[in-house]
Amino acid sequence: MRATLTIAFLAAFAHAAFAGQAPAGPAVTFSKDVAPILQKSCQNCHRPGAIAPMSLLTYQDARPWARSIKAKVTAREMPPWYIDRHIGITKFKDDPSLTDAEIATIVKWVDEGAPAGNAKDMPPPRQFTDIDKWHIGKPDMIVSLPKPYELKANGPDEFYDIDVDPDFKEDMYISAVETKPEPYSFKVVHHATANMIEDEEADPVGFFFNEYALGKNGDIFPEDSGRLIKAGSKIHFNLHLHPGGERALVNVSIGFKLYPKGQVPKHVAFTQHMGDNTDLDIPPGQVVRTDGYFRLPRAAVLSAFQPHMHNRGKAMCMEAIYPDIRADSARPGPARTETLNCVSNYQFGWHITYPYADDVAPILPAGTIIHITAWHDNTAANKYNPNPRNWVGYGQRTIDEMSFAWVSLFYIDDSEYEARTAARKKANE
Amino acid sequence: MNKVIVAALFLVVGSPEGLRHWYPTPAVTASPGGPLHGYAAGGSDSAQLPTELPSTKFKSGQDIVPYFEGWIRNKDLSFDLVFGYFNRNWEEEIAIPPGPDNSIDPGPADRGQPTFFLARRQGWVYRLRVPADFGKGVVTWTIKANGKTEKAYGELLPVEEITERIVMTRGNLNPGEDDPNKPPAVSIAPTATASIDAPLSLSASVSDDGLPKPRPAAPVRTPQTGDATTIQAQANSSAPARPRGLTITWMQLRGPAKARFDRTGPIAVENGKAETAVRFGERGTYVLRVTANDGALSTKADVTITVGGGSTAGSR
Repeated sequence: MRATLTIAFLAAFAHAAFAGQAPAGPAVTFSKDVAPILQKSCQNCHRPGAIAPMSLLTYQDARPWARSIKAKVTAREMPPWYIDRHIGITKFKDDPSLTDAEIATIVKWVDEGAPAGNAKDMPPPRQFTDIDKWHIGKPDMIVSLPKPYELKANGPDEFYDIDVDPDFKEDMYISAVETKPEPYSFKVVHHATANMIEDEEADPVGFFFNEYALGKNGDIFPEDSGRLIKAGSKIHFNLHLHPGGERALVNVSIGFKLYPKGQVPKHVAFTQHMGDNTDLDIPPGQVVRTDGYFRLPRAAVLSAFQPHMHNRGKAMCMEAIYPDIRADSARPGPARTETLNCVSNYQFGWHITYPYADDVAPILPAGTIIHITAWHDNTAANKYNPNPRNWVGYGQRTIDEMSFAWVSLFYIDDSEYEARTAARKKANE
Repeated sequence: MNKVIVAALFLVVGSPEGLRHWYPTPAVTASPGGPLHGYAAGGSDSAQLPTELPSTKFKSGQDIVPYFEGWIRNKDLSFDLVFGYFNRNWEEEIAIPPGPDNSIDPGPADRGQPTFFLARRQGWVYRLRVPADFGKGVVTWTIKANGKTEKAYGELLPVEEITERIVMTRGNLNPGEDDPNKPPAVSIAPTATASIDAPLSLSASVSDDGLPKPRPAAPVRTPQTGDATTIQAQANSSAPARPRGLTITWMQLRGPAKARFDRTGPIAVENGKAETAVRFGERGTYVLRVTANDGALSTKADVTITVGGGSTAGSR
């Protein structure tokens, strides 16, 4: 009931604010009120040379787009952050999304004619360097393809595979990792996965390490956890490319933030497919649900959630189904469940990783089943649907579909599970 | 009841400030069949999403959905429309002869499409050539099975263009166009006469460039206490299968009844040959397909077999 009332209040507030009933008060100006919001949540992408199509650095840049900015922020299409704010965990690291108050400020500014205000009120310009484009911060090490791949202007999707030997001379533990295309490649890279090959003969495919997909940010591992890169490892890049109408050069880089030499994190983190369902059955003209499951073999702390679907993806939820802990029971149930997160407005163009804030990251007991529920929209109402008249199933092409979540986690033993849950309860008392 | 409606169980763990401080809680509140809170009251414009589970498995009684894989641009400027089908049954296999229940439009009902439908999804099974001036034309494949009609629409949408390489990899796109690997070559030995229910030998000759290099099976990684680095290597579905060397696989495309192969699934090619046998229970014309696979790329060849009264005659 409490949660429902909270949601109702927020909905009412949002309706009042976004319906043009701007809160009373002093005039809202670009210099004093809007520029700080744009600096915080928009300018990392909306600046010359970055991924966004227009700059929002100055009043002159932003003024022509005022109505569009209002529309995008009130619909919560921008900044790209599609986690459902009204269910499950909502506290994340590096959350660029706007508060309801910030949206109301932008709405009021636009509705009052988008005034510039006093130039003296402008905050100092945000300082950028090329390295700011990394969501994980300045990498300690960057590995790129030895030379760009040349993608033709038109035609079907292409896959490009290449092994890169970065000449890792010693074992390293990393605290964050991010894969991203070079700026001139953004428009044609559907995804880029990086596998780590430790032994080329024994396992030429290697194991999954990191992925970039359209609009994705990076993986920042929780404190005292990290991933191990063994000396001599090679990186296998797999690029899924979508010709964009003009010849394009393609290069990607993977950036690592390293633990200081000699420091070994307590936990080895990794990112795991969860809830894969390759038996998709998505009829034309319908919105359908698909379910998938993954059982945690040990107690674990989840650090990030990222849905993965294609053009018809509409929403995805991640739920924990707790193990039956009754000592006298031989059957698994009735299960206790808890929705951890939902992305209720999935956007194929933005494969956002949602990294949990450390104080709310799920701590799950061994045997917990992660239940992934996905919805695909194969109707004509889905503007990204390439062909709503035909059935679609699982496949790797953009026009096929997928259904799973990338989940970052690390395992803990039972005693640490007990200690962490006790500490969490105490902190929330 | 063909479908099972399963109510989703959702829980909202709320706090007034809008932050959900997550921790395991002994008590839960569930709302079977109730609204999905985030959508119902959260200001989203999404209507309630379906809770029906379409993945319920049925042995029989379900329909068959044809679907469109994409189109290929041929060197002579014609186009090939490529189709697959999805038999929703897990066991029931259905023969549907060309006609009102299995038709291609425009054109005569029989344009070489599959007439025997194996269980589950069978991709990349049917190609139909259309002329260079096809333009904005549409070819419709209609299948009626177990009382329900389904259609696939083949047209030249730019986003659905594919290449032979994509067909060879069944849509996996790996390896890319510039990979040195060449697809295997496969031929089928002329078939001998045989009687109904008597085995008919099938011999496939296969050659290949040896790429990709066959690999032994990957070591099985199982979680071990205290060894997180082992656990981290759990399989991810994006990893391609490891090449095991040349194999062939037989499947049935057409025929009035089930053709029963002595060996199902991939058959290893040894010394350039792979053999099995097939038995037919009814008279009629059958089309069988062999697919040779080098672990990355595949090549198909079809054989047509007419089964008469007590003997068979084959042709390619």
